[in-house]
Amino acid sequence: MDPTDFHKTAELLIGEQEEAHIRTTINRAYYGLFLYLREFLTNNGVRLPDRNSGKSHHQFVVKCIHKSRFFQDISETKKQLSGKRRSKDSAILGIYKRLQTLLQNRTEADYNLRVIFRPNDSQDNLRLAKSTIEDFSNFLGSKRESYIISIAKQHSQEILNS
Amino acid sequence: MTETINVPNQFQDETLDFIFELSKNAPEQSVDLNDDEKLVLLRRVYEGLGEKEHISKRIIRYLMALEWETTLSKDEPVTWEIGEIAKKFCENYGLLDELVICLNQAQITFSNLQSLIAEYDCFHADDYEEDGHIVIRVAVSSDQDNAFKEYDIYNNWMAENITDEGLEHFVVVVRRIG
Repeated sequence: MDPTDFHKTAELLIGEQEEAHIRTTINRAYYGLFLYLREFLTNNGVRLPDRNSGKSHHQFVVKCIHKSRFFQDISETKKQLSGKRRSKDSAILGIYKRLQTLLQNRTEADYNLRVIFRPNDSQDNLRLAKSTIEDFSNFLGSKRESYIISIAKQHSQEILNS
Repeated sequence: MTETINVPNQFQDETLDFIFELSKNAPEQSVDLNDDEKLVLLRRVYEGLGEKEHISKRIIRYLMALEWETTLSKDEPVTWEIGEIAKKFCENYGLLDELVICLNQAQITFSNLQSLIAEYDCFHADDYEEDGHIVIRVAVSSDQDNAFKEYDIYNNWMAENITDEGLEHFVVVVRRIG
């Protein structure tokens, strides 16, 4: 199954006023994105942390994106060698910050019943999740893709060794 | 059905008459009395003032609409708040100064800002509970396009100006209210 199909489910609930529906939309919006990224990693040979490692797959995916923030193409590397400080990849960091936001909202929607969610929260979370997938696939490119996968494999190995 | 409510001292008889006249023309359902945010505002208006008059539910609705619109149109900057646990967490990580910089920047970046609060929280999913982090909660009264645009600008600013520790521990949540 294509994980982004969860966004189709979320779309069905857009406009519903019931808070349970709104919370479900926020959950599906996040899972569509999270599973898309998880599948991207595992389909490229990245091993997810075992259950007994104490690391959740959610945090693993988030961490892999965060750790990939230093991606640079060759021209950037040359600049760095000429004395410029190591710069961060704003495209990756943008994905990272959105993923954090969606995970936070999903956690509150699923566990915190004191927070009041409104219909525009479902619209906003779904739009954010869909645009993050779009941006991720647009920004990816072969060099950035290889870089993220190598960083994720390295991170996975660190967890195994710890 | 008539409901009662305390009316502030500063409302003179003629003011009440004027409001009553206006309220006759106010749309009956213009303000939802079940709206929590508006009720909070109404309580603030009447809080601490003695009982002077009984006024109709219709007038209350009108007053609430006036107060709500006035609040939304205020130009005064919204002040930020940092929760006690959030403060301690940031002090432990040496991130408090950076959090204050982030909150000040949020005041600049987000138009139609309604509230700005930094709170401690932690992600948890079924069997796992992760390390804590700070949620920068931004409430705005903007439309979706504007809120998204400013959210992206703010994230880009963070990427450029905040340390890796700050980026990892500060999670931004923007919610549209009103």
